Amino acid sequence: MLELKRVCKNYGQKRAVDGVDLTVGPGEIVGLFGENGAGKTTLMKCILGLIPCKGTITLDGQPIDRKRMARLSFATCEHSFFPNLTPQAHREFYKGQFPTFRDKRFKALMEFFQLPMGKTVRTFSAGQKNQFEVIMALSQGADYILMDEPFAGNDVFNREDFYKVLLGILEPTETVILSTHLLEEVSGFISRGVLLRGGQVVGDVSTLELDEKGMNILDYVKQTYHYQPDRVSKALRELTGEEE
Amino acid sequence: MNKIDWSPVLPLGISQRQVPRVLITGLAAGLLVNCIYLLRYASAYGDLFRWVAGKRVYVGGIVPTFRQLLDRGLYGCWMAMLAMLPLAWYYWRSHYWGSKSIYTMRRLPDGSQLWRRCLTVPLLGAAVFFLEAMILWQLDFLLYWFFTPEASLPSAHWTALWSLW
Repeated sequence: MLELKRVCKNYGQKRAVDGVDLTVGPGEIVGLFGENGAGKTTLMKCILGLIPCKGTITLDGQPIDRKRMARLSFATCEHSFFPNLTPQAHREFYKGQFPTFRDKRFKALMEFFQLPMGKTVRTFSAGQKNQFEVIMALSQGADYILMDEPFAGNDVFNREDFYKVLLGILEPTETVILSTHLLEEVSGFISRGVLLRGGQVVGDVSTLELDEKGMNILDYVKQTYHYQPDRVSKALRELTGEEE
Repeated sequence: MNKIDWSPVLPLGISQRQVPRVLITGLAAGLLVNCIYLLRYASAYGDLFRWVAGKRVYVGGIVPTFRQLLDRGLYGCWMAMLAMLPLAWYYWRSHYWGSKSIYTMRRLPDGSQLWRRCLTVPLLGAAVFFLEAMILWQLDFLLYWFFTPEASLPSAHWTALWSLW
């Protein structure tokens, strides 16, 4: 169980994460949503210990030290791979560092996405780099897989394939926390949506609850954000009215 | 002799050929700059002799102290040592180029990986160049001591050696 209590992070005067309380259990697939600057990336980095923050973050009741950090993996749109290494070299390094490395899964995913094992990752296309980044996060053998906008730049067919593969390979105890703007695409496979705004959790709902209410995740986000559907037409009317 | 595998102490993806290059370049810089001392000593030694009827004759005189002759002769070694600071910085920054592999390095169960890969080669280089400086200092003094006629040594040459620092 990953537990966050009163997690706060400031960048100067700006409060990027503001008193977040969140609990994520094993086997959940959590979509982390929010506008740009809502605090999604900052929250993930706090969980991973990549930036200092206030509050407590525990895994199964214990602080996340070096040993427990291996139970978390990370795929980011900034890419955390080693550009001058080949996938084969990555595999060797990860196997040496993470005893739980899933070699079979790694090989299967590399084959599925037809990524070359012997070329340096720096020579991959942007889409291939994203795919490789996610493959490493899934193959590390972590219990909690954090993904921050992992599909930026991938085409829709690529993304569709990936969601299907992800659902197929994940074990019941593996947890995914996925930050993305592609709400409608991921709504089919997440079990829970957490909505951030201004660094705070403003919504937390399971897809089961949404189904019972006859809503989808996009409707829920719009409702929570008090989205005004007529704001665009209002603005255009004002604009064209001024010009006349 | 088997080649040394430097990969465990270098940032991932950095070529191993860098290590001998760094060491050889630093050693060469130390030796090259030390030649200033050799030239100065040769000149001071030459001043003790005159050519008379085709023969080189000792005419006497006092050579400058070892310290004066050595002057900046070890600066090559000191500069090579200082150059290890930007090298360590380069190794650290390499984790931010082309990706943010720093995120992976900071998540590794083995917390020493990042520091070991950024600092081992620079520290090794600094140690090697310091050792070179000490050896050159000793060799330069032995040259000064054995080749200079005793009568031409300044009176405080021993204290001059120790007062180098």
